[in-house]
Amino acid sequence: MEQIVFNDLWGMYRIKFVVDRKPTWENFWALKGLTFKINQGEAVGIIGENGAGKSTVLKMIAGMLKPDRGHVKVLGKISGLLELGAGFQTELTGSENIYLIAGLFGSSPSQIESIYDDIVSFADIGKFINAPVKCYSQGMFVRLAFAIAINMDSDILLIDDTLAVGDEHFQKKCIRKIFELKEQGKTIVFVTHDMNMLRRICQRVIFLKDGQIIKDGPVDQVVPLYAQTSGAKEGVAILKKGPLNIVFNNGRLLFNWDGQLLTPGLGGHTILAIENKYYSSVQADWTIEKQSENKLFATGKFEQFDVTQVWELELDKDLGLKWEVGINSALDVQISECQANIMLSNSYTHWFTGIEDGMFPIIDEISKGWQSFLEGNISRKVIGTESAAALELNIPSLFFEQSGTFSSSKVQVFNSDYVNNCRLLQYKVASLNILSMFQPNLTNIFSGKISFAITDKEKYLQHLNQDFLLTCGELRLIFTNGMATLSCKGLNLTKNSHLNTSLYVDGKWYDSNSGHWEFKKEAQNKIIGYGSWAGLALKQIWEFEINNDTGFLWKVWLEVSKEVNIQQERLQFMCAGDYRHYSSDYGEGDFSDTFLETESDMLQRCIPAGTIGLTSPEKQLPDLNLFFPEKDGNFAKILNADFYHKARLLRIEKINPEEKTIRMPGRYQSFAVETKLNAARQLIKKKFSPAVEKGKLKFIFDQGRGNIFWNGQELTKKLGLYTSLRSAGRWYDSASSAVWKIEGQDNHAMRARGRWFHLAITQFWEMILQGEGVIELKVSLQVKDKIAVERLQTNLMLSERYTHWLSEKQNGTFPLFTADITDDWQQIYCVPENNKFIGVSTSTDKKKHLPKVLFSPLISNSGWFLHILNSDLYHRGRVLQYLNTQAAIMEPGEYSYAHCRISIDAKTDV
Amino acid sequence: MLRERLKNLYLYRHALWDMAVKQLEAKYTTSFLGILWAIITPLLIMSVISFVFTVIFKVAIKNFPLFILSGIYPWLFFSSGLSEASATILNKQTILRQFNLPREILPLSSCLSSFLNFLIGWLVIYPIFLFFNPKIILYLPLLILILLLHFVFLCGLSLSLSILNIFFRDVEHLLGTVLMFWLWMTPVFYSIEMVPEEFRWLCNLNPMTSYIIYYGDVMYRAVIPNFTTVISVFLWGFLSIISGWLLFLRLEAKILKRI
Repeated sequence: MEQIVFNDLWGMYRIKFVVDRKPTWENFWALKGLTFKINQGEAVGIIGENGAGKSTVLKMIAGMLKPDRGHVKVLGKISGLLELGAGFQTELTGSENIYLIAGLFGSSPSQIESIYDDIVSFADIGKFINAPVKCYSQGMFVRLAFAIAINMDSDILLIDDTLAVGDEHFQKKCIRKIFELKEQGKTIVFVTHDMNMLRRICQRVIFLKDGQIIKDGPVDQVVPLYAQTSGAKEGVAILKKGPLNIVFNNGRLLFNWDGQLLTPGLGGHTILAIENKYYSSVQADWTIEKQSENKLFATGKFEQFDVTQVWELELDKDLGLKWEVGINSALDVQISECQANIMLSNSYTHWFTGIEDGMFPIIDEISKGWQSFLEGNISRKVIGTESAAALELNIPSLFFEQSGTFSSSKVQVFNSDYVNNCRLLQYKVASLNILSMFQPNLTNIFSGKISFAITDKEKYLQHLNQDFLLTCGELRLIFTNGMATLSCKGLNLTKNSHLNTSLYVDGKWYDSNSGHWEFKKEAQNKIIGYGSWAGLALKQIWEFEINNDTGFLWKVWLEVSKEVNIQQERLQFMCAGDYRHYSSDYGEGDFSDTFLETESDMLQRCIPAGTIGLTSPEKQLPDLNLFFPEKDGNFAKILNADFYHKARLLRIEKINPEEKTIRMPGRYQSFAVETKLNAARQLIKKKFSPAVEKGKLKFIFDQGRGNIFWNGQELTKKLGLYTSLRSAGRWYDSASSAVWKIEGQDNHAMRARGRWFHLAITQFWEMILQGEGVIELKVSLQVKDKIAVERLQTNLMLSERYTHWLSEKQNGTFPLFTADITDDWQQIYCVPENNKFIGVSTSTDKKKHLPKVLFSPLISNSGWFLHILNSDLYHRGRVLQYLNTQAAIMEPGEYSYAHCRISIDAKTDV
Repeated sequence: MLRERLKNLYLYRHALWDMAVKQLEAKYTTSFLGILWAIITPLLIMSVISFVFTVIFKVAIKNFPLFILSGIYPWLFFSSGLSEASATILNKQTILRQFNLPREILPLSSCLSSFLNFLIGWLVIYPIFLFFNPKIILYLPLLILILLLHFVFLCGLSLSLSILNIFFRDVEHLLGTVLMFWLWMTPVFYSIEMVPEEFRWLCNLNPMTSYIIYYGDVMYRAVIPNFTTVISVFLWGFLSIISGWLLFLRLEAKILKRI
């Protein structure tokens, strides 16, 4: 049914021009012979430049203006928002004005009553509905005016670009209401400049220019035409080939395929973060220099800043568009980020990178807002999208790739919110380092290509990703800005920073993901990566080799070009939290379930060489084992990551001793690690630690930790016999902060020397088994470089089955453990200086009986005394301690640290 | 077509009433004495004029203040009603640009507003007349008739003037002077008998003359108005409304571009 009919309609305004006080009258023909029909239930948009006659058309429909020639016929009741604020009595309240305005629209009081509540809830201005309109903010005013107009139960709704006012929430409401009205069969005529909104609401668009209809047709055909012809003329250029038509219009790229617009809204554009605010390329003023039929340079300058961006666009014969962005700015302008984005129509339903892929969910009213699909800190070579209905809709698949290396860019794929209703592909270059090295010439910050006619998708993706992907069977290694991600059978074994390295050079840490990396495929199964950092005269080289589907080899070298001071090197696997159990040649256990604010060392020891591994319960993830050889004093640690990462860390470190940190130019191998998945468990065997025995007593020295066994039963627990000292606020234990070498061993004695990493000290232990159940321990400390110490301790942690403690003068029982893993241990008894010994014992119950253990210093140094403590809930051990709490600066030299005796099952109390 | 317009107007009757009432409210809500001004103004004028004419000019009319009041009160209604109504379209252009309502509503609601104002005043003024001359109660129906006819006359003129004002802004400026001139041409401060025979035709030409005489008959003299007066009143009423409305319809299309 025809609702609105224009028949050769001419409309004129008689305008008085006054020049130098002389008035002249001219006839201005706003509409020239317009003819069109709008049927009931259609939603039609009217677009055109300013002055094209759009508002005049609305006025003709509304009956505000009468045509000078021709006819207009309109059936039905009309409501609309043509002039904001008309009819409102400012002294009256919003509520009273509702009745007034609705009455002016032609509703009777009873009709107004029935829609009153709808209007109030749509306007959503709260209690202000009862306040005089004159105190409304502009936004409230518009909401009320629009709420009345849209709830009027009219047959035709006219909107004159007033949806632009109002926040996102309100716009969403309006769109939803308009859709409701459409469903009810109302006719909508919408004048706007917002092409995105237009596409949401209207199927048909009339393009007006100078009062005449240029085109009247489906929205996807008319809008591109408008985009081509509107906007500042100097900023518009077209590149065409075959079905592909690319329009550059003042900072946005619009892609048309066979007349259909693939890019709504901003299309292809850039966003720069200048002085911490975001500016899109459409906000700049553009000029174009066309080099040839298929190539152009567009220069955009921002008004407020001295920042120029230059786009080089070149369309090749295979329907691929090269897009390069360069930036030229004054040195004092801070540009911290550059995004190259392409906004695509929601006809695109699937996305893929060659490494992962997914589907865009449908965008509707209940969708929450912008969603992203890729992990935040990765980069990829290409993002592709395609439409499930590619054939019916004639939509080509689109590949957006970045050329060259991309260590500093992050890739993201988005699904937009309801208002924007589109997909977004993004390459983000966000590295202050790189961007601050601008010189007064043009710096290229993004180089990419958009391809439309790729016929063999898989082959193309494989070709693009070949330098970044190593696979064998189900095992996959993906290389991306300074990290390698490991997955097997589709499961991610690593997370966050995945496999990466770090260097501690000249007092600063350099992580691999802050460097600039180039990866290259050397062979079918080998990829080599070259990493460099700004300001460092070295390069790190990674070599990954996959030989079968159960493991790979990773070697790391350093190529030093100028003398550097390398203090520490580190290689790390950050593994998924589903790995619950760790194992090594020196022990195994379960990771704690709670992550603390900082990393926590699980084994509390440095593992010199061999194997470390992770397993997950119920085999959710394959067993992961690392083999690493002994090299330059490297050692491994198994840690629980901090609260932020919630991961398990396998780390291999090398701490260069003070004298050996300077490296001359040359090539050095840092690490060589072999990773095996699901290797047979027995590969990790408990290393045999040296032990001495005498009678029932057996003492095992386990890399800085002593374990005491009596009749085959272990009396010590967890940390066992160890020394610890505190320097500059940090604790350094003999087991977890040092690496030990056995210097001598015979039947009943053992000597070992431990070298600490972070402090320039070594300790020399002499452990002698004497008599029946007596261990004599002599510890000396060698200080190489002046250190400040606050505490020196020798500790013996014993099984919690010991329930009683005793000393020369006093005794008692141990209370329950209450200290948390981060708290200090409970002090039970601080022994006065003249006590000769302390000890623990159990009850005399045969089943629970353990031999009494006594601990006494043989030489009591002044300032040292004995303590009895209860450890925390994690260790659950009883601690006998000999310590010194006098803070002091220790000069280089040799010091006697402790000389004590541990007696097991002594008969007397001496 | 006229029938359609009438139907349209009928549809918008609520808006018409609403606007009239709100216009009336707006006039008085901000002032302290409010609606009392509807009464105070005519009474004040009556007092001053009476004083001047009886004490200074020594006009010999029995119960001069009442005589004055019976003429001046309707005149005030007419003159202020017309002034306000002729400016409405110009003042409320925005409404015409946004809403597709029958444009007559604007001047008509203004007239209605003035009429309501007029009626409210009568609530106080009629008892005053009644007090001095209880006989006039018999002529109350006739009073009601003239009130309505006077209203119709006002509407007609308002329609013409309001639309003419869009084309010739002079109307606004002229109206003030014309009304003043018109007032003296009408036997409000003097009775028609006082006018010399040669000039009486001038007064008879004046449409308002018959209205004022009618009012006087019904309120002051307590007699039935004579036949010519009544015919005159009806004729002028219908003439005014018909010509006013037709003029309005004729020029309506053109104003849309002028505002």
